[in-house]
Amino acid sequence: MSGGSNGAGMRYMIGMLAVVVIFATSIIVTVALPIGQMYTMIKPTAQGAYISAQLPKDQGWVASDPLNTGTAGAHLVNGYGGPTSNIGYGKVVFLREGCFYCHTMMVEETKDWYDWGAPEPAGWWYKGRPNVNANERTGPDLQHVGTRLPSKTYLIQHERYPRRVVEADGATNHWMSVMPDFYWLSNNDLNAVVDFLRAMK
Amino acid sequence: MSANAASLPRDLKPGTAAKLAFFSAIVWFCIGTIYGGLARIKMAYPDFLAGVPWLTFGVLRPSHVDTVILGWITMAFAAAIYYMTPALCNTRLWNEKLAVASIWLWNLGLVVMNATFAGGIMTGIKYHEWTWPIDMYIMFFIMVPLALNCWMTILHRKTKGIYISLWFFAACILMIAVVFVLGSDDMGWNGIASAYMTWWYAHNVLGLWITPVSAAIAYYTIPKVTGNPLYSHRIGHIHFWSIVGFYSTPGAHHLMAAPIPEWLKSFASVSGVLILIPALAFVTNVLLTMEGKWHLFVENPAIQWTLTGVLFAIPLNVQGAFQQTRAINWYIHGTNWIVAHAHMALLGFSTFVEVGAVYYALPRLLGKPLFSVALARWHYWMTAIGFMGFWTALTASGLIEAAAKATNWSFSGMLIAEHPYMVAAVLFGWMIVVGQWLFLYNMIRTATAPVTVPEGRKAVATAAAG
Repeated sequence: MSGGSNGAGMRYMIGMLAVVVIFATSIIVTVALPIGQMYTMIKPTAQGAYISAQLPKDQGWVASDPLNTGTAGAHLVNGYGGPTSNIGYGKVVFLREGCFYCHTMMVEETKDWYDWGAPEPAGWWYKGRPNVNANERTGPDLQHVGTRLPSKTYLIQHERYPRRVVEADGATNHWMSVMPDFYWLSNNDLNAVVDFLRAMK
Repeated sequence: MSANAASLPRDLKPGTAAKLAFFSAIVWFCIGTIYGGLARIKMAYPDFLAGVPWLTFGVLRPSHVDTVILGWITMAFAAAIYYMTPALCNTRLWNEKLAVASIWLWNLGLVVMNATFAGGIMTGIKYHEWTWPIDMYIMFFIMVPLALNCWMTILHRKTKGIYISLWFFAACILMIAVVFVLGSDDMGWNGIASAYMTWWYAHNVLGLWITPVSAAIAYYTIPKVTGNPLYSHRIGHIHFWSIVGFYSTPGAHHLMAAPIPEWLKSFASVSGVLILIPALAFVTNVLLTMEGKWHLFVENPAIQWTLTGVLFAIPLNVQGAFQQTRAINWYIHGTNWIVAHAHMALLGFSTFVEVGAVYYALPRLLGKPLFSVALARWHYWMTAIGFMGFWTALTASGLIEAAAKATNWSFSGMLIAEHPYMVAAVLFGWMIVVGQWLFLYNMIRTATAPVTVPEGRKAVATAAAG
């Protein structure tokens, strides 16, 4: 039994069909066309080609020793990927710890240009998955952090105790950094995430 | 007591699923706001709970966002759909058992989801941090039962027309399912396309699910409580069709500074401004429906909450329509301004409307009066003042961040300047958290209160007993 009369049932079906048609059109315009354009027209930059070769095939399932028990190795445990390079694993740690919620990897055409280097073309993120280029910017942008802060020792110290490092650098105020400590990460994880950051040039 | 097969009910009592969903949603609301409150403290005092791997900001943030979206807002929508669809179709829910099973599985899924986040198992896609097994779980145990129950109930309706709330319920479930699949990590988007699809998905969760279904709930609650018919069916059509037409397109406005196709940015920006059409059509329709009944705004908790939500939709949409244009976006992009705006949508508009629906529907489902109107007022003012303070603090700190982005001002100097606002956000944020526990307490007391016999029937009841 469909509604009070056949006419009302027909209107329901026609209405739903109209929704489907309009929505399908919007998906063609805002998904199919631009995604096709991005996949066919974007060529990797030198940096994009280098990094994409390091990244695991699939980062969708990010977990390796999350509770720091020391039982898991320095390789990626994920759905399909398997072991990868230290830089690739560093990105996994970067995702797993949620670094990207505060640190963008996409300088903008503002004063960023002066502070953090030039904005990059789309090929810089070639094959990156998932792409963690932009979120809130609670911390500094990290797109060119490897150029800005090349020292591995400094970066490892900074990941462990960021606020103390900033104070040791001559901070005059307790709130000059709001980054939490990551001293509890294993050496493996710290090394990997720092290698990943140093590769961001 | 004989328990033969014939005396067993063939289906559950109508309203079982809605009741269960409303209560589950309120519990997840309390949990989700605590996640948010803890994350907020970390923004002001980073050493708080530092060194606990499963309580880092990177765990609390997705737990907060995904719990309030999936556990509170979406489950409250399900409750509203399970309550309002049969009421508007003048029939019973198509399959009450399926609905109840879906809500229990839903609760289990949320526990699993939060546990995986605590263990660092997440995709890194905003609003979609859960991994693919949970994607499948959500699709088959949550979305499909909800869609089936909604569509089949409408198909089996005993009324002739279909009221506007039902258009939104039926269409939005369909659209959000498509958005959910296309935006999931399983699609394997990579490169800049991955960033684009993340935001296409994230924006459509708001535009095709959270805001329109909230509007649909307001379209039910306001005429029902005031007794006025909806002001205009025609304006309702404008609202509905412009949502379907324009609101699925502006996702790219989150990436105005990214190297995505320029035509896409312009297209998204223009359709982003066109969002004002459905938004203002909705607000106009609801506010004009209130004609002659404005005293209910202060007298009736359901109207008070729903209308406050509708009024928050005005600044929400005006802000949203213009902040995404290139002229403004370059300045405030990536700052706390956006966080404030997102809370205006999810907390200011959507949550207020859903809480209104809870205050309307839950006492009716339980067949009991609200335990305490005074507590409901405390809940209202804690949430309203908490939200407005929170929004103001975050907007102010967003403007500080924007100034630091645009002028010759150091990043650390910006952090020092915004610290007082971060502290204010903690205080106002916890006002919201505490308010929701009052809400839960009030509703539990309402449900557990003994059934009172009305004064006039007491004599009859006593006589029958004697």
